[in-house]
Amino acid sequence: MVPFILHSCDGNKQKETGDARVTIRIDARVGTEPFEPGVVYTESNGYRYRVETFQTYISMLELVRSDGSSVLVRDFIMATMGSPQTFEVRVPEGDYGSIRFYLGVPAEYNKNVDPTTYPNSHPLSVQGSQGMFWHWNTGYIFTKFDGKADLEGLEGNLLLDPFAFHCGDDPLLRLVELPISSPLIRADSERNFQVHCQVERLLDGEQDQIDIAVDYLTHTQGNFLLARRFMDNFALAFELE
Amino acid sequence: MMRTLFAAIIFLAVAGCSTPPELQDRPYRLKHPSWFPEPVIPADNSLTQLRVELGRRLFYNKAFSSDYRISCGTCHVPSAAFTDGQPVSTGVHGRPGKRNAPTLANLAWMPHFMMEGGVPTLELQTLAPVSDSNEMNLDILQVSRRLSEDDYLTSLSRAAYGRAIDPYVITRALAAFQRTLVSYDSAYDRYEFLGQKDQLNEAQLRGRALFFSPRTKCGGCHGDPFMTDFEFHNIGLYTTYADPGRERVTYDPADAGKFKTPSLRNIALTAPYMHDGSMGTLQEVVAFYNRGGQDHPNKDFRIQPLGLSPAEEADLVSFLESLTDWNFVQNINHLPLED
Repeated sequence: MVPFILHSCDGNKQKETGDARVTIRIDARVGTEPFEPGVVYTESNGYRYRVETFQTYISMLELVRSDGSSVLVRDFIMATMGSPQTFEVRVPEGDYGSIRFYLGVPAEYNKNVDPTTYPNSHPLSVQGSQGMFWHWNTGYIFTKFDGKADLEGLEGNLLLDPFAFHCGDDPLLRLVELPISSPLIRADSERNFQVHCQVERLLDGEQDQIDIAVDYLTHTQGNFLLARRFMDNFALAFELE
Repeated sequence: MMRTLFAAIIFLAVAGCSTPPELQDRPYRLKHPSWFPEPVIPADNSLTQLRVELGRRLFYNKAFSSDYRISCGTCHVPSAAFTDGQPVSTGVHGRPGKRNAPTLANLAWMPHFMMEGGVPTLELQTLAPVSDSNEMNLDILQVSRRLSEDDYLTSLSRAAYGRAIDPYVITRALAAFQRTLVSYDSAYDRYEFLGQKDQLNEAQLRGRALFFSPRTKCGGCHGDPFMTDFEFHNIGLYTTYADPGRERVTYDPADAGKFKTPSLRNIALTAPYMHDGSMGTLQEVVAFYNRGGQDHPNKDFRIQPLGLSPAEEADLVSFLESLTDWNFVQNINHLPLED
């Protein structure tokens, strides 16, 4: 029942005459190319790296009207980055100034929440969370970004130096809001939005560079500051096309 | 003829759907003494006979571990007040765990779980050792699949919770059983709360007076009735802790080396001691506190040299031995059920 209740906000109501069809596609890129796990990329220090796991919770994906009200598109998404997902919603005509979502799971759904109470199909369930849950410190892992790098300049595709960023807990929830350049969505029209996560910015952020030769491991506990830096970079890595 | 056949079909249908008599459920009355407060039982997991039985069967079921060698009861042995006598427990494939197995007495009153306090309910706590690679090392969904192959457990699950075995049932049933592990019948309880003044000997009485005195302040953290304040303290066990303790969940360096106060009930049976099992005897523990612990910026202000004589140390140990509840550790209702 939980997903139905949460999905039953006005964004998913029955089609009404005059509603516009809006799709939001979320993908990950490196530069202008689709991001692919297992492919070797090079970050700004010249280190080659390969991402093996990149998963994240995206919560409360909304279209925000110019008056501040919003239409919920999807409540919780377990996103495997590298596998684009598209979400559809029907909305009445109006000005929609931005697309907004959280990276992570809002506090009211994170702490003191029991994943065994959700049906298997729900992203917050034991099965739906795909291991993105800490059992020793109850709460969801917001983001996992794991892989290997080559810090030694080895030949070929030999990458031996692991990195792992497992970020979670309430203080690491990040809000992303992407302005829509042409806010008016007309009745009976169709609008398609593309939200790109620029993966290279997770390490080479707009405001902070994470040097994986030095800062390569956080499970939040043990290196909370690095987890915070990573989530700050992540929140600034999105673009709307 | 048709009427007889119809009646037979109805009978078979009813018989096939009804719960077998042995699986008729009824409420479980959790016994506890007047000096314990009422426990808070979650609304979705009220205690019933079948829930407790299912939890008891799961507690001793080795399908919870990846190598089928470890059950909850492997590290939580009833005769040792649900500890295992090891400094740190041994997980699958002989892997050493990270911490000393805690007693499971009186969990129905515990407000938070794990030594750093990161788990808010007993139901959720049951997931932690299952997924830990140094303990049971198994996905709870896989545990669920394994257990579902057992027809009797499946019947119990349906009768107790109205659904097939899944993580919801597993966590609730294990919590239900563990809430029945109530310990309140030590010599000290009988002396202190039932007025049976012959229960403590002279050494234990002297030890009791010391334990609750402003001089030792032991009772400040290990007070009645659970012999724990459920809070987190750094006792100066080390100058540098390998295990961050409470800092692990708060990220606050001021919480480094803080661990949840363990209950001292049945303490004489739960050696070795400390979060890492680094002290083998109660004598060592009392001597440690008498020295006042090591320097650490987070050390609790109450941990100071006590100036106890050897005789006073011995009295304190005698008092701690009076906290053993022999009826608890020998309770047959806590033991594995025969199939």
